[in-house]
Amino acid sequence: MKKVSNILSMALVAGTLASTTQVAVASPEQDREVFVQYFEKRFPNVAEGDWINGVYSILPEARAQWEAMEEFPPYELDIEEGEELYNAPFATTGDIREGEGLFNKKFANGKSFSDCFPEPGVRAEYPYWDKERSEVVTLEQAINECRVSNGEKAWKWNKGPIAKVSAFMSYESRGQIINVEVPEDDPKALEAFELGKEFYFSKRGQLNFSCADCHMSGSGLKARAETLSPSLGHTSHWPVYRSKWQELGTLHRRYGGCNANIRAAKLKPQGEEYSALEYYLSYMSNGLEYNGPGSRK
Amino acid sequence: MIKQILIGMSLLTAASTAMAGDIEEGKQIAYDRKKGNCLTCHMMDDGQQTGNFGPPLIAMKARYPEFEKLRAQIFDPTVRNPNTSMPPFGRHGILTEEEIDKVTKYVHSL
Amino acid sequence: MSTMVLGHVSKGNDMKIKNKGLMIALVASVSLVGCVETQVTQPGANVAPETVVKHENDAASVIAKAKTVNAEAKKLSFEWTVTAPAIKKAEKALESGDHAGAMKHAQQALLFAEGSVEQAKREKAMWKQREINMLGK
Repeated sequence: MKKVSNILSMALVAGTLASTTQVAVASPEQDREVFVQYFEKRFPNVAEGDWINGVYSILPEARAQWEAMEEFPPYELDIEEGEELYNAPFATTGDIREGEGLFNKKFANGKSFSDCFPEPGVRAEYPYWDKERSEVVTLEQAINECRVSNGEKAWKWNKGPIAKVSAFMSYESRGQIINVEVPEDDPKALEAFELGKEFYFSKRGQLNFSCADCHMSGSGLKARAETLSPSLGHTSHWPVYRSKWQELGTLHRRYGGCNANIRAAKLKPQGEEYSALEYYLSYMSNGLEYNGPGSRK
Repeated sequence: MIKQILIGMSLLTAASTAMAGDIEEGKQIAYDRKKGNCLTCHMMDDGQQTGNFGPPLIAMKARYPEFEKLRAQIFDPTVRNPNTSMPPFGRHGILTEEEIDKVTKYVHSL
Repeated sequence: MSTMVLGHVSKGNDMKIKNKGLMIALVASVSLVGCVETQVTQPGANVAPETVVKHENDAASVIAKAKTVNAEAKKLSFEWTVTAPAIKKAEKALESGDHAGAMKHAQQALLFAEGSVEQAKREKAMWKQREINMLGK
């Protein structure tokens, strides 16, 4: 059995190499146009801009029920808590070690998120490519960096206070247009974009699914009773209150959950792969509005 | 001669009972979420709340006259179509060889 | 397997069988035997000590190999969720002296580990083509 699969793999690689040598690498903007066209062709009845409502943009019957849920959304309290956490000053005792450099002491005592972000409504500035650090920076990453840089412990990435602050900031940013950039003057930015794209189309897990298998060619189809949502518009409405979680969770929490569903070991939230994936998929949704936080089943 | 035919007939009955047993077990494996979980993607038999990711499993002997070809498709569907969404139940060890035998018998009977 | 044999019988119009009744009986009895479990030597059951020792080493070495290969899968970000639990089951079985069980789980773990590494390499080569196929570029 091992021998056969080895031969198969070799044949596949040979076949692939033969057929891909003539293909040029498209630009992110060309990629986005093809991506959008795919979904517009697949779901011609979705109004422009409506993709941000996820599966409810392609399921008119379920939409009424969901809209009723959004009247008194389950994440309302989270937004309030998030606002409190956002405005709360950092701890003034215990966390700051004596003898540390003047630089650290400068950011201690009484500084809050307001000192890192000009205002909470900055959702549309993330994710972005940080040229100096050569990495994709997401909103959650920026939140924790603010904490850590002010002598606080980083929050856990998937749920709890980070999701609440992200929810508050997302709420304050509703209506802003997704506008992710892949700067042309840094080839590493394009590399990160391509890494995200590679992740999206790569089959993984014992069950051998790629994101695209379910959310592109499988979008609109049903797995059991659940309709699979299209990737276009996916990153607009996070963080999300999922009924399954009975709480708010971040986008990377969902990435991990999806991977586990197909029996692929979860990768690090805010690690290289998930951040690249968020970067690629956010770019694909450029032009749509941010409408987070959201609620889902 | 008659005695031999009678023995033959009773053994044949036993064999078809064994086959029926395999088919029933194959159905259980196919329906089990942790094993075949076939209903997630396929409409089949009396399955409830089935998905439509893959084609409905019906008239299987017409679609797969050869048992072995159906078995191979379940074992590793990527051989026929490298871009299929269907998991390779055998190659990736999702089901054991014995389980695949039984599932194939069940599906072939649909 | 039994179905294949029965299949031959039903196609057997061209088969010149002198005593068809006996043939059916033979076929049926083979089907009844059906799935024969592969014989596994249990330690302590009239088996030479060297064989027992060899068995222990076999399972242990398969477990070790599964761990090494799985570490590679993890490094490539393609580890499967099912691999580590299979390794654990194998180790537990080994601890409790269940060598047959240890070997079974160890071999499963190795299959998972190797499958995940193969997947990583294959997808690295194939993902571009999958993108093209799906988007019709």
